[in-house]
Amino acid sequence: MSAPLVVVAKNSAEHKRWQYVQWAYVAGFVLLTPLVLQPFEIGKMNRALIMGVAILAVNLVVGFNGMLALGHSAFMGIGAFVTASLVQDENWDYWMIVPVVLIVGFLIGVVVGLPALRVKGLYLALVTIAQAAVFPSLVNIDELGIAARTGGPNGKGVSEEVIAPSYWEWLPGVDGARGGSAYRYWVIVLMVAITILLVTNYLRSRAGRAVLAIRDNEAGAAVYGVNLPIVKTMNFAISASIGSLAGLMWCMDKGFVAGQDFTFLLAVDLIIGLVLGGVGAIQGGLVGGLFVVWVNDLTKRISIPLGLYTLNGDGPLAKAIFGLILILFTFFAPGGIVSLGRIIVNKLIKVVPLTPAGQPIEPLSNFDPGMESTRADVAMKMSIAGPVLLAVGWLLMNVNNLLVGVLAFGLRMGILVLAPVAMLVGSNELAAHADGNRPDSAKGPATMARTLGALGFLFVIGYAVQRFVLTY
Amino acid sequence: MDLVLLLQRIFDALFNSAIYSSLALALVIIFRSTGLLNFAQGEMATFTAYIAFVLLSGPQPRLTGGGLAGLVPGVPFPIPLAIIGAVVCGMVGGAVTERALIRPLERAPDLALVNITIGVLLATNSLMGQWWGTGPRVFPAVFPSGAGQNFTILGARLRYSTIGVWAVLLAVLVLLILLLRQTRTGLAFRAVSISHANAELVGVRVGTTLMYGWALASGFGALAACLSANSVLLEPNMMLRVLVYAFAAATLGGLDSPKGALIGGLIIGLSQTLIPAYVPFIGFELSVLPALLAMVAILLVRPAGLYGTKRIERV
Repeated sequence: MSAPLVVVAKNSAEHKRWQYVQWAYVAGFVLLTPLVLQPFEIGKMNRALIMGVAILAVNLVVGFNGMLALGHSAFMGIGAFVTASLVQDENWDYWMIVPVVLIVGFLIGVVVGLPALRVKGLYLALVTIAQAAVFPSLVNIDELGIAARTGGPNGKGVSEEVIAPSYWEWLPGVDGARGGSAYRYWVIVLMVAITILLVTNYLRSRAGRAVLAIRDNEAGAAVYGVNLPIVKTMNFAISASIGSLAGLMWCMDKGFVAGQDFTFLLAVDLIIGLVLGGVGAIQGGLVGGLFVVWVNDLTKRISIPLGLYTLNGDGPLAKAIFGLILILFTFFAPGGIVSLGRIIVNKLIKVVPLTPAGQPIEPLSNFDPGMESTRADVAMKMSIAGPVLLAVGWLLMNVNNLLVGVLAFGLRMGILVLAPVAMLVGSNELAAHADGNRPDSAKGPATMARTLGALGFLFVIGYAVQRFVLTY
Repeated sequence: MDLVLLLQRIFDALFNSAIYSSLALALVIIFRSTGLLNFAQGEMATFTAYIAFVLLSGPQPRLTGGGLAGLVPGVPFPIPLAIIGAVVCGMVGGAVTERALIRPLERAPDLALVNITIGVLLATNSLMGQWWGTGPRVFPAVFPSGAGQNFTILGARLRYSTIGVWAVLLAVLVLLILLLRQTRTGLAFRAVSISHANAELVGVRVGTTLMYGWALASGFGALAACLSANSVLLEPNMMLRVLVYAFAAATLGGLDSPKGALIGGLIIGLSQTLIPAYVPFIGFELSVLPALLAMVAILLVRPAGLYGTKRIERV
């Protein structure tokens, strides 16, 4: 299966269809999360999203500008403490604080960034680590009323909770037992979506292209008229302000902030998330955030008896597993999960851009007469594999074990991905047959692939609905 | 200002300075040869301090590795022998780390190597917690450091342990300089640190030399950990805080200058003790601040540190 199953032209109807499928996945994921998960799990999901925003901030500097800045835990802390202080001491509303936090983060980013960006490479890494190391003790200073504002070593609790107003109670999961955390989830999702939109636009803008140019070739960028210090500092400051926004979300979600939450270890978590998610990919942040929070959670629940000795994940060992994952990823998947995903998706569906004349630069699969009927066969196998996987997953579900449960969940997710692909390939092959580019033998498998793919998809949806109805 | 008190504070600061200097030296050795910062330096050093601890205690129930140490003839060791054992283990560990984890990523970007060392940091840290528990252990004093065991100079007490640590540090430094200046390996090491490609062209085995460099650095770290384990109590996170200071020391001295590491360690150690004592604004809670501010200030004026080589980039 070296050639991709379907080759579609950019902006063609099939490409659009594929994009709709991808958006449907994202929407389904976002929508199901507050409905399916338990309240404490929604809390974890909130934390994952917040980490995702923070990792996106790190990514802006490390991944897109090529500067090794490792101290964003301090910016998160600043955002969190500003929020806590304004909400608790000044009775501000959270939404009023958003611009304040963004501006404060930006200004502090400029102050830190101007000197920090004078140094390069690993020196910068060290300066930013110093910043992360010093932050937890900075909030304890008695002078200037800092400790009074931050609560000093005891931390500061925020008594005001984010509660859904009555006209938002129709949001999935918001009313009932999940109330608070589900509503916070929706608020955070909205903030994450806006942040990602803004960052994407920023990177497409003139300033963003300058940032990328500096990463790719600093001298070259300077020659083309990029003002290096200004662009670097602005980018650093924007990143700091997004980091502070993550801090605000943290404070809003947890309702408690303490200097000990924002240590060097949090900075290390951000780096791990960045590497696992994908350096230099916008989605990398969210994927990394999910990974850091959930894998940390999973490793804590692992318990493997090894004869005399039981390997427990809930002790200090969780960090060892993280270290191992970090090393393995650096060796075998330096692009992170996002690039792994892209490799797999490109094996299934490849989107080729158009030439200025409007022709695809590579022959599309349905005009490729060399490919007999193998594609239709593969698609058919995939669509048959779907229900089989589902059955296996269902069997495994009844074995009450965490790892197996995760595996079963993964299998169901697998079908959800495989079924539409099988449908797409099937209809693609049918179109090729209609154009006379395929022998008659391809028609049968292609039809089957399309039908079975549709059935598998409906099956999973039906299964989900049934479980949902049973649970509630 | 009370001169005796000042002198006393300086003497007290000297002990920590020596520890920072030796760990900074370890960082510098690795940076010079591989152009890489070893974030795991502190944890690897702590690990070897635990090994020394095991060698000192011998086969005891509920001490992981004790049984293994029991196979070594002569265990429990006296302190000097245990430290030598730890240093040897550290050197082997450093060489293995270089060979297994760093060499395959020779041409990878900085971030990848930073990740590897952070991974080693996390893994080592939690393995130590798993094996030896997170609670502190009492590591015996290497040099007499009890009450009254000191010289008195102008009314200020200079403890024997401070002198001992500095004596060891300077002795090792002299050995290092001799190694670099007088031996073939040292020559190869200097050649590699200037340019990998050129060294390879004249027949230096770059890989092996780098492995020696890591071994040397880890040996240094092991020594630093063993010498400081008594005063900061042996526990898995023992060197994390020290490492931040060592980073600051190495950076402000210039990441590629051994002399800079020594002087950087002194500056950091002294400023850490003296500034909180004389500047009322900064309590001991914040003793980390002046050191780091000093580092940033020096980097602003000299981006390559005090004694670091200025990088010249070809465009």
